[in-house]
Amino acid sequence: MSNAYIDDFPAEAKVVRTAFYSSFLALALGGVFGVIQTLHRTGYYRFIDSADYYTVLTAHGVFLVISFTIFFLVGVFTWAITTSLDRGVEDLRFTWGWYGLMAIGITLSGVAILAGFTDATDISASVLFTFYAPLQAHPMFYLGLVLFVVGTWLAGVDWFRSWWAWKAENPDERIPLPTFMVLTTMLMWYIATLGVAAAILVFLLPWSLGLVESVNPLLTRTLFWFFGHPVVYFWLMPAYMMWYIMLPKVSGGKLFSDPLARVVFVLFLILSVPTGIHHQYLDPGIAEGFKFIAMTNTMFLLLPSLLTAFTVVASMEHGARQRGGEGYFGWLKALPWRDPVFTGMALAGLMFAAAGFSGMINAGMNINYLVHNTFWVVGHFHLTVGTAVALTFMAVTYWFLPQITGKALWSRSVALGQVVLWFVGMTFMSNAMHRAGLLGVPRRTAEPQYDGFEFEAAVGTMGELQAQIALGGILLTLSLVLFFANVVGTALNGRSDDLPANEYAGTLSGPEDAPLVLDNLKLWTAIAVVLVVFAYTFPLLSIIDRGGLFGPDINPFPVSLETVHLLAFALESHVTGALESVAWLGVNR
Amino acid sequence: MCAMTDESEQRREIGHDEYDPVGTLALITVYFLIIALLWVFMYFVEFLGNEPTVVGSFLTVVGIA
Ligand code: HEM
Ligand SMILES: [Cu+2]
Repeated sequence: MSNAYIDDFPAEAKVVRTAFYSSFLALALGGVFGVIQTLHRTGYYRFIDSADYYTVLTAHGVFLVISFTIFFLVGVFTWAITTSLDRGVEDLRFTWGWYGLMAIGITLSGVAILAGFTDATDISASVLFTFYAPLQAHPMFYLGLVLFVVGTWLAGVDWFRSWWAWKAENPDERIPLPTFMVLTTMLMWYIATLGVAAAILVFLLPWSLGLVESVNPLLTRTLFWFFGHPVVYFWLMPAYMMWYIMLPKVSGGKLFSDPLARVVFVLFLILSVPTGIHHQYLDPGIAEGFKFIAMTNTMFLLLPSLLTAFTVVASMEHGARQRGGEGYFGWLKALPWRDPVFTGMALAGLMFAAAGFSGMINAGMNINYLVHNTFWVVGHFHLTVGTAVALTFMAVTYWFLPQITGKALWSRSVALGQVVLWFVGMTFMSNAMHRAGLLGVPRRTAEPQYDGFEFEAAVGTMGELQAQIALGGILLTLSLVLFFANVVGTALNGRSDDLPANEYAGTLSGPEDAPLVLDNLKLWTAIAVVLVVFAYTFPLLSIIDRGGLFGPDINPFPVSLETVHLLAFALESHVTGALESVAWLGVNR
Repeated sequence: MCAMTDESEQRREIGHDEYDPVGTLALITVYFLIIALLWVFMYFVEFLGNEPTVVGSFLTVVGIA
């Protein structure tokens, strides 16, 4: 008999397992679409119609950044709460209830997206994961998203209930660190999702149902980014949690500082939301001053990430030194590089450090003009969510699988190969994407090629960049295949009773060193709300003032092939009109 | 078997007071230097390779752009 999670919490282990498997299904689908679009855009292999490219891209985006990440993190959070409070969920039916809501929701949205591939129905939702109006999806898509998000809200309620019940029994104790991380993340998520909830329920869903005539695209876009920036922290904070509470342990050491970890999560709660406008530096209709405020908040947001870099590296170093490591850099050799859980997370962290630089470029208001909507941005977020988060999740899966299935991992060496392959593949793909972006290669484009125009590379050639992107995409796909082999192989193994115990890292400096005020969640939430009100009230009012709550007169724009022709026609007449007036101006100089 | 690398490979116990993370300092210094170099490099990519963007006239006046 071992002390794995499944031995202590068999019913909860089943919930976590189901959430993980849902997440992996999304990862598999997303990966297939990923390689299709990589080969399509680079021109290596085009077997879909270019008009379907946007359906593929929507599926890739939504399945990976909504279903893969969020299903995984609700699993991790359920594990974190039950393990660190050492109590099962309060009401198992409620737990399955929120899982069910999430599953139904994402299925509705997913079906709406995939229906875009056939002409058998007129359902489609090729609106990309940002669903900017005037692109319009079938109501099922929006409805599904709403149910999914409500599911996550209830999941948060579940975790708060556990904490309240625990607090009643342990009135004088500090909130255990993993629980603290879950609660701050969820508070951030509640504030953040108010943006999408408003965008969908008040505007997009009624509009797609035909209840209202039009929407104000800048308004729904701004509400989207109100949520769209903090959602990246919703993915990242569970990955950080793994870096804080698992990585020190697998490195053979202890977490350097529990108080510092709490400070980091509090900073994320406060600063994640009032920054969304940094995705809209190029949106006309938002005054520069508001963009400047968003930029300032964004730069402050670098702080918790840098604190994390310090704490996490110091914890790894602690492990390495306990394992006999010496010197300024020599200790790196003493780390357990043969352990896929460690190596995957360490490589993910390394990639995140690189992403820190491209992120600073994106965050600067003027430099952003250089890279906005280019392939650079795609390169950037494949380092962040596509590696820092995704690779961390895959790496910890190798620790979680035995815990939640009660079965030994199918193959440790395949696992090690998998995480390294992801790192190598992403190095090729992402680096070349960044460089292509600097040449002006656009993102979200099925055929980034133009008559009479060539992208010119200062170093290397366009062909070389395309080749690296395609090669990277293929390596990543192979890495996914290895990952799933391990997941399936493990599931097919028999029960083992020789599993590691369900434990997370101890601390060098524990909660007793953390000021009590850090645990005052009400205070931090209040500050977060005030900052959001400051950052958003005026931009939103001015957007509504100019463009109207429901827009001046934007007509719905269902995405289908006819509209492409319509669009081409509209564009043509527009351009000819513009050219004519330019000519006219020239004549009248 | 997926045993976690833990105490079994531990050679010594280092407590809070004996631990001095100099390696972390070294790594973070290296990172900082890389970032600073890239920042300098950005100047060439952004301002020498392209027309100035939002930072209009000042740079043109000073003759950098
Ligand atoms: C097999 C691995 C992967 C490959 C080959 C791949 C490839 C790509 C490519 C080529 C694009 C750009 C398409 C375009 O702008 O025209 C893209 C977009 C994107 N990818 Fe990936 N990707 C992979 C994994 C991931 C992962 C793991 C995530 C996140 C967890 C992710 C998230 C995204 C997102 C959010 C977009 C943007 C979608 C949009 O613009 O609407 N990808 N991917
Ligand atoms: Cu952002």
